[in-house]
Amino acid sequence: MSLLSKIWTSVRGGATEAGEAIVDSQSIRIMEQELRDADKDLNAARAGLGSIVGQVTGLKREAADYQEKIDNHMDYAGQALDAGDDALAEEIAEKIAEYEEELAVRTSAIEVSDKQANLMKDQIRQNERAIAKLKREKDMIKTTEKVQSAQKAVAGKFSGANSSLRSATESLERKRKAQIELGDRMQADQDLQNEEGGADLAAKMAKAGIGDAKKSSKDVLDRLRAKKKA
Amino acid sequence: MLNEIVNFLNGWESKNGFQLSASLEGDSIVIEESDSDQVMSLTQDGEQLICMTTAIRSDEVAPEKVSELHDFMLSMSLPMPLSSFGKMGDEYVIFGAMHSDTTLNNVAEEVETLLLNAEAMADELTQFKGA
Repeated sequence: MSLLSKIWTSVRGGATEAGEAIVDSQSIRIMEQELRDADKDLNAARAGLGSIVGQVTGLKREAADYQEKIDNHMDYAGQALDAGDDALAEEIAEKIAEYEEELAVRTSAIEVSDKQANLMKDQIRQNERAIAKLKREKDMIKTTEKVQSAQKAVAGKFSGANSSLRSATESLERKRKAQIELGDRMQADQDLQNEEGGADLAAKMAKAGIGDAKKSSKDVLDRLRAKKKA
Repeated sequence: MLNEIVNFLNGWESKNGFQLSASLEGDSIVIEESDSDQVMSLTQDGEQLICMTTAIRSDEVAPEKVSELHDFMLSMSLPMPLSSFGKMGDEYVIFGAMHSDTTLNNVAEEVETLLLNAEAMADELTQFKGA
């Protein structure tokens, strides 16, 4: 199982038990060894590349020198021929042939070294990518451990009756219930106030002799007298 | 750094009316918002600070709506400012990350953004809840 698969297994499974690692220690050891090896290979490849590049620079300089000699001696040979000195011209030509051989050797060596240098550059790029991948996996393991530890911290703070982590949807539901309850309470208070206010009002009206006021004995007698007069 | 963040958040005057209460629990900060009742964690992982809150738990989701929930979260992660959806074990989380070098003001604003996002998403997520 790849390291990423192990991380996914851990994340899917939730916070680990105390002491249980995201990825087993054997895998960690293998990863760290791979990182060390990749680092070592990378350093060796860079040193190798540096050496080849140095060689190529030297070879190119020598090649340029020989080319210059060839050009100059071609001139000399031409002059010797112009002067009618064939023997000298032949001697110079032999020298030119030597120089051309030396140049050919260096040109060939430069070609081979350039190919080697390109291979090493590819190798270096691959090593750098491999190291970046391993470091990324190491970082992911660390991040997973950190956030799982953070989740445990939140759960630990609110452990007890509500030991599972409070979600945003639950908080919203609680808030809405609380708002409804508050609304109900306020309505109940208002209703009570209205009732009490109503009783007060009835009392005031009765005192002023208005409305369905309490019937008094005086009222009854007055009505009886009125009836008798009629 | 975590201690500084705790002190700063406890004294933070929110423009959105949030009342934050932060405490250090081990190597993580636990932050509560008193009005929404929302709880979040803030942890430092190398060069980043990660702030996270639980949006909805797996056991709250109606089984037949899980796939739709995942679609929703993947789609909504992009437009959600500074935050993303994630999953840790049985919890669907909303999280945000910032560089550890950032200012305390930025940390507080990131926490507030996460809270706002969580509140907004909580409303949308109720459609996926089971009985």
